[in-house]
Amino acid sequence: MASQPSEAAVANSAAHVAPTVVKIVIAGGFAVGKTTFIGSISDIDPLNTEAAMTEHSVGVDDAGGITERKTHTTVAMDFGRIALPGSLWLYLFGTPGQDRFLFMWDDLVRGAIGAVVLVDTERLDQCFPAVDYFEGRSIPFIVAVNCFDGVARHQLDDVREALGLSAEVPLIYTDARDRAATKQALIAVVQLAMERLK
Amino acid sequence: MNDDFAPSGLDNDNDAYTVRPYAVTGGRVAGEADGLALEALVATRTDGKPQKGLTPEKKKILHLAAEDFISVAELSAHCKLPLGVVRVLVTDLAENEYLTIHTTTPVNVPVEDRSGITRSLLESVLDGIAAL
Repeated sequence: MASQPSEAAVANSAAHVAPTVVKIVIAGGFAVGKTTFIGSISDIDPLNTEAAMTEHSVGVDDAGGITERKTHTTVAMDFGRIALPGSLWLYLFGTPGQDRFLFMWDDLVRGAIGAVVLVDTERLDQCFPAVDYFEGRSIPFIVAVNCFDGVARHQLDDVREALGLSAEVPLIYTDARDRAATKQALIAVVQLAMERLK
Repeated sequence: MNDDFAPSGLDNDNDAYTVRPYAVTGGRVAGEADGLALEALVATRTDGKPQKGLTPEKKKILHLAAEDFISVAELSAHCKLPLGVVRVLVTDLAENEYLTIHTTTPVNVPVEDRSGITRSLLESVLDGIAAL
């Protein structure tokens, strides 16, 4: 606006100091609502990026010999960004859905505050790899049961037992479509990370 | 979309990305660029050298990073290029003094290393999210 001539100048000077970047990883099985979760709170529409990778596979050729083949495949992941006061940018990275790309997670998780594991109670087993991954590396994580229709069909105690979660892992209901619920889930992760500092 | 920034070899169909990634990086593979975090921020240098002779992909990165800081992941999404390719291009552009890279994400440390996560940082993040 014309009445605020200093805005551009402020933006310019601020641009010389890079924001501090933090990230939280959003994990869970395929189609559990990770992108919806990210989109409910992100400043930008969730973006999609691809990592190309080479997979080795072994096959048998026509002559009966063993051949090693390299196939190029891509892994897609969605992410969002939230600007917080004090020149802090919070990135939310969704993990690639398929278990076989678990090795890629190190890139996403290194330096992260923690993780939200989204769970669909109809397909509990889909979140096992994520839970195992974060437990094994002592990464602070919470498990959030996504109530698709706003109705919780399972008691949290039952979910905890089914997942074999220790009492220290926060377990909450969430609604990936709802900004307030998403916010609470993110707060729970940061609080957990703070407790772990003690 | 400005056609100047379309990946070379691309027709008008932005969805059909048909150029092989290696062609875009000039045959270079990740190597050193491997360590570049997805959330590393990039800014085009205002004292940058003339961009004449740069590939369309590099020009597009410099264009995207001229407005404000932008992450490697966002560059990858906006350029429709795989992360590995963008890492190589960004590293190359930084080495040639076209842009600066800003990141505090540790590289070559185990995932378990949480030395960068301080209490004051977490407090700021917590306050920030609570105020949303």
